[in-house]
Amino acid sequence: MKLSYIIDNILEAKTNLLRNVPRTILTSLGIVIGITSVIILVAITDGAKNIIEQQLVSLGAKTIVLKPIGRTASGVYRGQAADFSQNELKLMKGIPSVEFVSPIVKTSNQVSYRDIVQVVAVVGSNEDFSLINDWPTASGAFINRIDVQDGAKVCVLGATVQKRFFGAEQSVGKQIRIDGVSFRVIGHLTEKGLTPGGRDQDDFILIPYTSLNRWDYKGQLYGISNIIISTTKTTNVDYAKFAIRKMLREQRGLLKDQFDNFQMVSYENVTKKILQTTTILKVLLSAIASISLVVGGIGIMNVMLVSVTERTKEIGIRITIGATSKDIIFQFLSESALLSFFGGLIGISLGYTLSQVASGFVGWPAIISTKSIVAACLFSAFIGIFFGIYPAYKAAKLDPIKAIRNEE
Amino acid sequence: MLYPNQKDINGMSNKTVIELENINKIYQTGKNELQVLFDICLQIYEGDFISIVGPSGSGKTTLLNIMACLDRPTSGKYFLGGKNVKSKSNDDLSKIRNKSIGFIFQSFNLISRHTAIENVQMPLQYSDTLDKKERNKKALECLEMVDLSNRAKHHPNELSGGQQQRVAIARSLINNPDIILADEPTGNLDSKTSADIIDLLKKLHDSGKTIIIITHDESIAKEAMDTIRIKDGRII
Repeated sequence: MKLSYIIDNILEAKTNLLRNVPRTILTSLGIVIGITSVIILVAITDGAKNIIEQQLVSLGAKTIVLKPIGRTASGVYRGQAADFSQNELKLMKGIPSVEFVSPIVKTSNQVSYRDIVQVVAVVGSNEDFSLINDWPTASGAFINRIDVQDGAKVCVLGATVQKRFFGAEQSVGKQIRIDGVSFRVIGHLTEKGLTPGGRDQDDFILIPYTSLNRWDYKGQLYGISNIIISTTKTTNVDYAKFAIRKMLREQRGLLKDQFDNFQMVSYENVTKKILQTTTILKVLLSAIASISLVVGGIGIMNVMLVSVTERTKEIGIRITIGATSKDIIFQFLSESALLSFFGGLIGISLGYTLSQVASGFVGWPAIISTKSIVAACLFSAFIGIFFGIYPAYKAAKLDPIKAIRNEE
Repeated sequence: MLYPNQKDINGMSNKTVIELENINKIYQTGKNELQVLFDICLQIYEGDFISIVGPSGSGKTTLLNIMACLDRPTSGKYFLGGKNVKSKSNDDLSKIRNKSIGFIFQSFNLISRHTAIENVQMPLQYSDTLDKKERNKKALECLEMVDLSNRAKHHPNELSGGQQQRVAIARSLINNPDIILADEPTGNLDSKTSADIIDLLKKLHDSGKTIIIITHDESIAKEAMDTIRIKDGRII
């Protein structure tokens, strides 16, 4: 089939549709409404999915927690516990799907400021801690890479510690003593509140993990007992776990029959289930919206059937002077496809506008992807062709002798 | 019976373009059978100008439809340009009509929402590989032949009956067919315009076309080289 043949047909279809503008608009209205509602619903559910994903990430959907003890499926501890080394930390950071790596070294020490003296949990970590846990500072700055490199004597206070030692007073820039060693406060964190188990998450002081071993007064070295890792995407968790396990086993020279002497905990299965639920929701809602598309398609079929009846004589003339059934079918299909495609285009722009309005009502952003626009265009043209087949076929099967006698 | 071959006598041509052998046509209406054509045998030669005359209901339109490949005989053989058309599909017959037959009707049968030139170029749309520009050029040439190039952009309802029939004639010529079938071409026209149309058909005949006119008007029939009379489905 030549391109010019297709273009000729489409141009003729366009001319025909423009001859009766009100009818064309009313006919495509069904498709307009259908495409509009599909676009809105997909945009809103995509937006919701995005928000849920973000919330899951802040709940740890992208994180993997490494612990030093290997454990079998039955819960029995196996293998020799071993802390993580600096080198392993560096290698983890080099794995492609790994975004942040944050070591956790926990201890508790006597902390004093002016006349207040208390024992407080001290956590040694690095600059990634704030990013992995989605935990910004309320004022001041978080520790940075240079602080970690230098083992600087700086600290960031949890919200509870801030309250306990400083109250409403500004803490940034003040010196506190941890086991008698002076640390400069560079910031304090926002409040996270209690865990479901009732533990206060804000009751700690965070320092560069490298500082812990430097000032160690007891002559004791603190190993890296835990590592928190976050991956670039929620879907990368599986791969990252695989790569980390391989790397650690190699580093530690574990033989095939030896158990892991470390343990990884992650929540990717929970994440997958939740995101699956939103996908099911999206499919369900689009399916409901598609019902109006089918109704719109039937509207097109109806009008095309009327059009065939109206143009019986014309079809008779065309067949008489040489149109084959393919020519007639193509003529009518071009018209119904164009009608529906045109409805689809209006539906897309209307859907785009209205989903912005709807997003204001539901309170989260609507996301319209190129994919859904392309799909809407193709689907509306498909509806036009599908529902145009019967009328077009009916036209092509007309008996030219009878058709040509039909009065216009 | 075979129709006498006039051309042969005149020494012009003896190539048959249309040959009917024992054509019967029976219409089934429910349980009733209605035979409208009985054993029609007919040969038409290249360059003939034939009129087929008969009262209404005599079967002349059915005969024309069969010759035009619009209808199929119940029995008998039809050779168009020497080829038996019996085994052809409907789409093949469409192509044959498109290439070798030009149609002129009593009611002109132009498509009212298209302009004259669009109507004239329409058969080309269904035949060859010409693009729109070339099709329009050819259509304009055909409109010039019928003296209507100045009405190219007019719609049929803006033209008089005679002009519409000339547009239809231009359309019938566009694919340069061998045969022109005219079904009561002057039936809707006054006598003055009818004479013009007949003159035009004569000119086409002079240029070498085979022309077959169906009419019930004896004065029109007289203009042809030969007249076939048909009554009650039989050639008399």
